[in-house]
Amino acid sequence: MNNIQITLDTERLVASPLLAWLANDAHGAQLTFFGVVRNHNDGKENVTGITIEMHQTLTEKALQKIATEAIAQSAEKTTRIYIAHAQGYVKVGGLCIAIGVTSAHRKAAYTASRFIIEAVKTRATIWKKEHYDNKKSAWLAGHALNAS
Amino acid sequence: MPLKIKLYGGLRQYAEDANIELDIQLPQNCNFIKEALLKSLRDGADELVHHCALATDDEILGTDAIIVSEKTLSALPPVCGG
Repeated sequence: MNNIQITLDTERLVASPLLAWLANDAHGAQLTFFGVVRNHNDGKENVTGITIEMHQTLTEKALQKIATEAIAQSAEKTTRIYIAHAQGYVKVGGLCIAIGVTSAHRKAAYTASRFIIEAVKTRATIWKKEHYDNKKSAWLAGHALNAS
Repeated sequence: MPLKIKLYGGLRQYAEDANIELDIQLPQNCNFIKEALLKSLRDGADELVHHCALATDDEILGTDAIIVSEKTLSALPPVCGG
């Protein structure tokens, strides 16, 4: 059984593949995190959607490394991790990222899930352009990859 | 031989095209290449270029990296996935 599943979706990201992948009779904890586009951000109340761009190869590598680290750090080495990230346009209410973690017990699952989302935000080569109802758009600020 | 730079994210708003060619002699360090990149972009890109990382197709380069024979690099602005 594969412990890590990474998916970069150009189609609309949905939760069902993640939920199917999480099933494991030996694991009592199944934890999911969904990052969803909201209709407001940083003082702007008129967000209509975002366009997600990524360097595909480097993002796959980064997510694989993040998942591997999460398992290595976990008290439960049988922890399984699913990370799916959207590409292209996502409207308000749509999924940007879906993270699933299963482990025998909840402590390991909560720890891994939090580690993964925080690491994705600072290490995955992904950028977002935010769109507004006045037809304007703006690239969002982020975390420098080489910041010490 | 020109060094091709693929622009990602917000860097593209400072150029006509997603790919820029820099006429520089290698080997060079990343800072030199970023300075050359900045000169080829429209005004206003300073902050973004200063904080961007350079990468090959397979890895993000450290700030001390020396580019010897690459033909294409990617310029990666600060990231915001998730």
